[in-house]
Parts: sequence; structure tokens; C-alpha cells
Amino acid sequence: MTTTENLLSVKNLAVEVGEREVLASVSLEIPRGRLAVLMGANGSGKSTLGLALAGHPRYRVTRGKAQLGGRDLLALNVEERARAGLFLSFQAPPDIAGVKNNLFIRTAVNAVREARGETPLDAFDFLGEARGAAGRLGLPEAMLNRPVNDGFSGGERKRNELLQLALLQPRLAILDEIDSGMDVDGLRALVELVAQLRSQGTSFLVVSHYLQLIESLEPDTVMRLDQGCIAEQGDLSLAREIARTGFARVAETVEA
Amino acid sequence: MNDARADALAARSHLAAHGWIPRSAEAFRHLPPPDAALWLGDRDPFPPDATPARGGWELDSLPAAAAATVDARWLDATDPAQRRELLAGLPLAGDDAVAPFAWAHRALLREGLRLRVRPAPRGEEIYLSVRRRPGDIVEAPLLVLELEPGARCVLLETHEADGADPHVQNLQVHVMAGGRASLRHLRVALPGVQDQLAHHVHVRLQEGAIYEQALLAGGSGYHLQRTVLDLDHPQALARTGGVLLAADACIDYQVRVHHGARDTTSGIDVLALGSGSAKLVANAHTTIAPGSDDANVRQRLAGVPTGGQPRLVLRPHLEIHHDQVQAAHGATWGALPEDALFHARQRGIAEADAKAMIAMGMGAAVFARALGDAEALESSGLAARLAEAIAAHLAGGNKEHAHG
Repeated sequence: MTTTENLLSVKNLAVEVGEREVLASVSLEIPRGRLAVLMGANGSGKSTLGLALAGHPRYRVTRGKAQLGGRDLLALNVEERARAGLFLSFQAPPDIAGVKNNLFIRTAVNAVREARGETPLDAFDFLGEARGAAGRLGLPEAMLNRPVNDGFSGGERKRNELLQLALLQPRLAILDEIDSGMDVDGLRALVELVAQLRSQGTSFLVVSHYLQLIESLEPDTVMRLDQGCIAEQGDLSLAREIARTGFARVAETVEA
Repeated sequence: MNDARADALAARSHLAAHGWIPRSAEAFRHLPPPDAALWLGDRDPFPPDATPARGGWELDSLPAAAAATVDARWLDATDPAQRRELLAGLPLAGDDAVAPFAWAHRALLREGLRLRVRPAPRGEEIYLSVRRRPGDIVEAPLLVLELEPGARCVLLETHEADGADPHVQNLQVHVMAGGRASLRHLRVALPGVQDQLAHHVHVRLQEGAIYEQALLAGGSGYHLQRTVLDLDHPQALARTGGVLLAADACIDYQVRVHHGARDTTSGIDVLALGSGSAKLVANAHTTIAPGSDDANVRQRLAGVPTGGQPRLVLRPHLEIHHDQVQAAHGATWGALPEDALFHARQRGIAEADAKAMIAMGMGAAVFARALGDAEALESSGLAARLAEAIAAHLAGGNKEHAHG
């Protein structure tokens, strides 16, 4: 994708969790089909940004704006944001006891398809697609028939998130430490999926600490979050510098 | 006077002499049952011009191969000989806290269904479906199921309002499982909001027998579901899973287990969803008698308020009189899991649908733990009934079945 039209536009976003302000003023833009990496020390608010944009009720936006494809994201409820094309992968995807994975994902896919004006997939067609995607991601087919994340390992949970990403085909995917817990084959599958979706126009905001993955994803932008703001923005060299010197050192350099 | 009438009158006299369940009775402390007059009705159960009861037990027809392994007898308890046959081998009412229900039942008993299941030639599971159509306005039906040693059976037992007039039902169910026999007992009790129900299930297991119960119950004016499990023989196993749904109505769910032999296993699992002014009580009471080496006991009770200000009382109780046992119990009370709800909504699923899906999943998990797997749920249609009932419960109004 070569268009530079912004898909996600965040301006001066401030977010409180409980009584604590975690994000003071975050501004960023991600054009259609582009991939931005968000880095930052532990507790700097990376996950808060994703959860606030997704509309988690515990994350209260106190100031600022966020638009997705020109729509006021903050005016939409959680599911409306998802149907508008926002996907958030969870750092710790929860179990949903007793709900079969294939039913859960098919319900989600059809809710999104309906919002797009597409016909819902029947169980047969869905299963065909889900099996194909699960195979490409290295997720055993049997896991489609098990309750969501019930008894899944950390890596399997992350692959299950990727399966949902692959089938939902969002406009914007926020991947919050999707690499943690995944083995090398999983990371390879992740990189391939991201490249494929990106070529179809999906934008990405990827939170990660690992340079090797970041390099593999070939980001357009790298941002560093510090003290509730985007403190620095650059290209892959910023990620390499952070990897080499650490967050504290980079922050000192910027301040100097 | 014939023997049947004498037996009924004797039961009535016994009840009159000993009185009804006192309000202080521990098992009924939170939801005292209506008194004896309601369960007896105000009429003679054996009037001279008695007509056969309306409604009654319906047994779905069986495939020929299965039919050869099942004896089904509809018996008239007003006839002395049939009454004796109907009650053969069943324990007397006794003197415990719940005995008045049994005496009231004996006083009003007019008919029952007695099933006997033999092992299938190739050891396969026999599937039975019985449906209770409400008969008289006040009734005391009986269902007896005997499993011969080694027999394997799935019994779907359904009680639904189905637009019938409000009625009072004091049901007794007796299950007797021979050695190594197994029963998956799928029970649906969705009464009308004005109905008054008391269901008593008594289960006795021989060595190595297995009893698994999944109960889907809805609220009504008064609704008692009580199961008593006697594990007095080695390696007997019993598990129950109850999903209770009530809005502005009540359910009293009681499961009592007695471990009286080595290597016995029991599990009690409950999910109670209440809304409005509902009252739901879940009593799990397990006793492990001396000498019950390696008894394994689990109780898991969960209550979820789904709107309004329901009263959910969860009472796990273990009484352990032996050292060498494993026992765990717990009760949790709270909203539907927030993280799962957010996850589902973040995937585009509407909040109401997400809640229904999660609640349905919790219910299915309770049943799956009771039944060991989820296949019986699907094949019996219980999974679909669960989904319907939960959707109806969570939908606006959350009303129980109205009478037509």
C-alpha cells in the first residue's frame, strides 16, 4: 500500500485508570497499510493505549480525540469499534469456559461481516476457512472445537489471537506483545500473516520489546512512549538504538 | 377398604401426627416450603368415581434393539397389586427433615412409571426420553428406574409448563443402579411461574456404578430440586451439575451425598443465575463416613446476578469423618467475567449476545463436568434447551414461563 491517508489519528489523548493518569497526551497517526511499532519501558502505558482505543470500560479517556477512518472512535461502544475495523490482540487472552472456539470466532466474524454488509458465513464455510487459517498458523485443528483458550498454553493462546486476526481481517490491528510466549514457528507465522494483511491494506500498531521481531515486521515508524506521551518517533534505527542502550539511556539522550 | 387406600390414609395420618417441615429445619432455612395442605390437595385421592389421571408419563418410542432391553410399566397406585409393584424395593419415607414430603407423596400417589433397563447386547448406551405432562392440579407422580448390573443408559426427563394450568407437583424419582451400571440423567424442569414443585431424586449405587445428572431448572412460585446420592458401595461415582435460572421466582436446589465406602467419588457443580427479586438457594452437603478410604469429593458453586436484586445463597458443606480422603469445595458469587465479556465485545459481538454466550458457556461447562463430556448434551438437545433458557432469562423481562 502506498497511500498516505491516515487510518488512525490520535490527538492529545489522555487516559486515566482508576484515579491515576497513565497517558497524558498521546498523538500519533498511522496511514492505511502502514505498520507502526510502539516501544516503551514497562508501565509506560503501551497496553493502556490499546485498551483505551478499544474502549475498555476501566480505561477512561479524559481528553483528546481518536479517529478511525475518519470516524470518531471514542463515540462508539466496544463492539462498534470492533465492527468499524479495530482489532486488539490481548497480552493475556482470557479463557471463556464452555464456549467452543469455532462458535466464538464464527459469531465474531459474522457480526463483523454483517456490519460490513456482507452475508454471514454458515458453519460449513466458516469451518473450511478456519481450518485453513489454523493450519497456516500452526494451531492444531482440535483447538477449534475446544472452549476458547481453555487449557491452551501461552503460545497457543497467542496463535488463537492470530487466528481471529486472520479471519476478522480488520482495518487496524493493535498487537500487544503478541510475540510473548510464541515459539520461532509462531513468530514466523505472525510475520507472514502481518505481511499478508498489510498488503491488503490493514494497518498495524505493534507493541513489542524484541528487535528481531520488529526488524522482521519492517515497520514504517517506530515510536517510544514515555511519561504518558510519544517521546520520540523515528524509523527502525530508533528500535535498534533502544535495543542497544535501553530506555533510560535513550530518554537521557533525548532530554540532553 | 383396599390396601392401596389404607396405605394412602396411613401416610396422611402419619403426616398429621408428625407435622410438616419446621421453619427452623436447616435444609430449608432460606426457602421454607409451603405447608402440607398444598401438597396433599384438599381432596380424597381415591374418590369412588375416580377417573384416570390426565396427563402422566410419556415415554418416547424406542428403536427395536433398545426396546428389547427396556421394560416400561405404567402402574395405577390406586390398585393394591399395582401399588405394591410400583413401590417394590423403594425405601420408606423415614424420619429425616424431608420425610414429610415423602409422606405427602405416599398419601397422594395415584400412578407411576417403572422402568427396568438390561445391558444392551453390545454394551451400548440405551437412550430413553420421558416427559411428564401435568395431570391433576395437585399430583404426586412417581418414576422408578432400575438398571441391571452393567446396563448403560441415558435418561432425558422433561417437565415443562407448556401452557398448562398452574399445578402443584410433588415428584419422587428413584434410581437404583446395579454393579458397574451407569446412568446419565438429563433433567429439564422449567415450570410455569405460578407452579409449585418439589422434585426428590433418590439414587442408590452398587459397586462401580456411575450416576451423572445434569439439571436445567427454572424458577417458579416454589421450586425444590433435591437429589440424594447414596454411595455405600466401593468405586461408586456420582456427579451432578445444576444450572438454575430464576427471575422474580425461586429455586431451592439441594444435593446431599453420603460416602459410605472406599474409593467413592462425588462432584456437585452449580451455576445459579438470578435476576429481579429471585431467590435461589444452592445447598451442597456431602458426608464422608468413617472407613471411606480414598473418597474423592468436590463441590463447586457459582452464583451470578444478572439484573435487579436477586438473593443468591450458596451453601457448600462438607462433613468429613475419615482422614484418608480428598475434598475440595468452593463458592463464588459475582458478575459474568469482565475480561471474557470485553474480549467477546472487542471481537464485534454485541454486549447482550456476548453475555448470553458467556453464560451459556458457563452452564455448558457445568454440565460437561457433570457428564464427563459434552456429547450427551448435544445429542440429547439439552445444549439447545440450555441456550434457549439462558437467552430467555437474559432477555428483557427475564420472566419465567407464563401459563397460557
